[in-house]
Amino acid sequence: MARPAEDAGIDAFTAFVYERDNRCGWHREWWLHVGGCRQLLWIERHTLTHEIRAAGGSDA
Amino acid sequence: MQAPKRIARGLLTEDERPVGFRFNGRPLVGVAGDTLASALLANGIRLVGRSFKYHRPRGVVTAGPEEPSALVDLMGPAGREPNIRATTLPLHEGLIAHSQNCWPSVGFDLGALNDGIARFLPAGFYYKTFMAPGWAWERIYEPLIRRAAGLGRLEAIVGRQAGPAETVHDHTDVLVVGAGAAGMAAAQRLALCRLKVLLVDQDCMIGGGTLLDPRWTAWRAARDADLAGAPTVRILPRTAVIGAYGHGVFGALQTLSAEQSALFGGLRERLRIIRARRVLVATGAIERLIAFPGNDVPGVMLAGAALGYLRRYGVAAGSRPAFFVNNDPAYEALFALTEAGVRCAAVIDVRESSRAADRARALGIEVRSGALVTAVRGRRGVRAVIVTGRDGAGRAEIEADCLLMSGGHSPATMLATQLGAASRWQEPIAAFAADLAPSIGRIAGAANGLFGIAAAARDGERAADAIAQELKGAEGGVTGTGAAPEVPPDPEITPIAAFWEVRGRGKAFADLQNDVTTEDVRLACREGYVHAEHMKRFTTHGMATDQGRIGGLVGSAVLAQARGLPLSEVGLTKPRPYIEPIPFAALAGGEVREHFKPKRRLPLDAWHTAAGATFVLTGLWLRPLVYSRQPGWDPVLKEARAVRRAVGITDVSTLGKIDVQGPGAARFLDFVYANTFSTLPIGRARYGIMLREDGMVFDDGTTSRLGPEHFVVTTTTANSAAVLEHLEFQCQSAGARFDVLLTDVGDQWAQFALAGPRAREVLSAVATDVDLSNRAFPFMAAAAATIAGVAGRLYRISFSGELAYEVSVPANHAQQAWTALLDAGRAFGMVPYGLDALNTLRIEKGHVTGAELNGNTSAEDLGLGSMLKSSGDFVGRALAQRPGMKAQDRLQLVGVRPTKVSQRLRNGAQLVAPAAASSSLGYVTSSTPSVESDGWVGLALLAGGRQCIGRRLIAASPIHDESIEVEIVSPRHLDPENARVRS
Repeated sequence: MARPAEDAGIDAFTAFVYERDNRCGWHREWWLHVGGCRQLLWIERHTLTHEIRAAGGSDA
Repeated sequence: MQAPKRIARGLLTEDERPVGFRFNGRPLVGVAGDTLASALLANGIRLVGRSFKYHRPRGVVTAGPEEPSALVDLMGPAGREPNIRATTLPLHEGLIAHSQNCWPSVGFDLGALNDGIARFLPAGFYYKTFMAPGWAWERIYEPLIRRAAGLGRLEAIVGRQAGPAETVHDHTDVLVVGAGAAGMAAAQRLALCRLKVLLVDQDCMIGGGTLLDPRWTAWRAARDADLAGAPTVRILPRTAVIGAYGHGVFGALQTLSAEQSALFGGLRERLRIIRARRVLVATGAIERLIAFPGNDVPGVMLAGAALGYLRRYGVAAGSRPAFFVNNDPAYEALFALTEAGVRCAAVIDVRESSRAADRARALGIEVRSGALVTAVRGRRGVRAVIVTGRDGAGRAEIEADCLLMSGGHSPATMLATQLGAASRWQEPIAAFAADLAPSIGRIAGAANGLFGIAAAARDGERAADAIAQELKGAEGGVTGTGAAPEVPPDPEITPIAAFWEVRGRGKAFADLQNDVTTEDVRLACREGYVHAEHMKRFTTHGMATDQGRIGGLVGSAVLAQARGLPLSEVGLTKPRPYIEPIPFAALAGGEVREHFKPKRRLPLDAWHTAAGATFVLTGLWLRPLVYSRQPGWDPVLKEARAVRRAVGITDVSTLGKIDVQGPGAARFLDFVYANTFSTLPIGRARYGIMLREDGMVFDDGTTSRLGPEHFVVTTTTANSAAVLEHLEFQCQSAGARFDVLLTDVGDQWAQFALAGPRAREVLSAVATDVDLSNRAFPFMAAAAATIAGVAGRLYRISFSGELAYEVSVPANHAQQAWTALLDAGRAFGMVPYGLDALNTLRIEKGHVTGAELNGNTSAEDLGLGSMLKSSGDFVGRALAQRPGMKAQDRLQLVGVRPTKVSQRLRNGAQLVAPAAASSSLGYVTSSTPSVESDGWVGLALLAGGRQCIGRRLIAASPIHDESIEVEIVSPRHLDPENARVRS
């Protein structure tokens, strides 16, 4: 989920901070490799099966 | 009743090695290889405990981990351990066990009164009965329920060493769960493909169902030899898989035998975390009970359990058993007992005819086809069973001392279900089977709904071949065949007739462990709890140690019948981890006591220890609290007073320090802090507050600019890890927006605060290359400096409110700098001060820490609202502007002091108006005796606090039974003009 633009207003930021769909299906999310390289990576995970079909670094 | 119970040689027992033990204080003798349950049965003891709710007499029902009733308290070296299953507890010399849920004794139990008033205690009665009046819950209902409820009895083992455990990690190609015919056959096939196999089984030896059928002895011996010689196979008996966690991760609990335990210094359990590319679920099937009135009387057992006791321990479940069955495999117990010389009373089979019934009749055994058991005579043990035809006609009483029941077998699909397997109703076996995604693994044998040992072995090989094909491809298949032992054929059987319940007078239990009757299930349905999961929660059906293994399907069947739906639509409840009870000690493994968390020690830990510091654990850090062992406030105030009057030094190396460098450093800090850093001149420090995106204050600290593109951020000790993560996320997730690098240098730099009116004089003697005059190095200056010959950094910042410096040196030179500072300070009366004095000083000054930065306070609440920059984006900017965040009735930071100097403040004391019945207006967050003035001072969060300065309120601390009058004052108890720090 992308951070809204600076002037997007309170409603947009409220949605960004608080509102999440609890989707059954593919979900793109951030993971931080805390115990290792401390790099952020994104993965695409299926929320039902936990299958991971794609992953990449934060620069990708 | 006194006929010898040990009638044959058991597979596991050694009759020539007697083992003495005590049960309910009574000395008894079993033999080596017994479980407690088999030894009790061999001693003719049927009454083992009382049930959970109605305190009905209960005995042994199964021969394995699915046991619902025979739970005992084990008196071990670590004290009383409750809820131990007698059916899996190996007997050892001197074992002491007690019955559960009974008082004063198992034979005469006052709680059994519940049974008589049972119609007032239906399922869900807690929820309905103990409602009004509200006060009664705390004073009457809860203590009453607490005493009566619960399974077993827990004793605190604080201060005693619980049995040690450890955690190990396993990696394998294929995890084979269950080492019966299917699992053994599969493991052997996989080994031929050179795949790494971990073969685990709950039982103390592998073999599963083959252990109960002598025709399979030769096959098992051959496979045992194959597997023992296979280099890629590891076999772990006594290992129960307790949960499946996705991505091939499984948890398993390995219980060590007495011999292994002795080898590993008393280790009792290993928690094994297993990572496998594929799983083969070969967990077999579990026999079901039938719900009929009196199906819980001691002596009513599963037919398969009786077979188990005979084959494994040579013990007859009774001297005159009757049977109540709906399937052919249940007759195996009858044939085995008859062959061993036991005279069976009769078989009551709900079916009109069957092959097994014909075989039984040929042996001269009475079989009543198309018949039911409608009642059991005897309360503390079966004396006789009442039998009628399915039409209710032909009532008869048959004398028997035990009743062996079998309602069929359910594939053990709990693990597969956790792996996401879909359940499918299998009419031919009247049970659910499951389908697993091939990318996860396969299910084989009885777990796959294929009953019969030969069928299971074939299915195991099939599943193994499919897995090998996937993991090794077409070319990597079986490289040899191995010796092919002879496979005894499975007997021809007549199919099962689905049968769940005999309705009649008296309680028929669907769940013996939780005392859930079929009537309770129907009540749940009437109350609207029609989903299997809701019914479970309303009745507790299927909960606790046995997870309803032997009665789960029966409960669902009764619910289906009540709803008028096919059982396939009602389904089973979903089993969550843990499938098996697991001791907390095993989950904790080695991470207990001093190893519970790693400890972080300051670079000067040895010095602080030698100086007599009392330490306190803050987060992971061991910090000096006060340099004294004397309790009370005197030593603390002595340290704090030295700072206010002369000078003190304290170790603040625990502060988080993050080095921020790059062309985008200033812009990045402007984005993550609520105030501006791009305007900070080189050689200056600035106090900053960091918000969360929701607008609340996250952390505070000073940031110094050492170069055009070089800043050092300090964070609070408590938040150092979280702030680093937050900054990394903000930096990396923004893509190329910020050209900046963050480095955690918290451990690289030791930092000391030198505070007090004489601080400059002390520092001048040590920091030789810096002009410390107020003009050259004013408040909030920052510079590189040589401190006692060490290249370090100097910041003029103050947490105490006094003239103060923070000295930062590389951690491995900490001792040199610290000692030099102490030496220089001696002439000025300098003392080291600990965390308590530091806290006293900051509370007087009104500086906030974690108690006030509690995640619920906004910058406005803390009186820092003016720090928020008015232009430019930053984290938390938008949501900090929400009207509610600035509302003047929010909890705001204020100071408090008692109106009587003799009274003390308490952290957490609620602030209320003097009028009676006032609700809380706020609370005290920090408090300390003051060195600057008489009495106590504190900080508080108070609704609309800034408007209340000068008001008098009551600070109430009911847990101390204290209520004192306080005055609301400015949080800056000391030097509100901030003159001292600039002096």
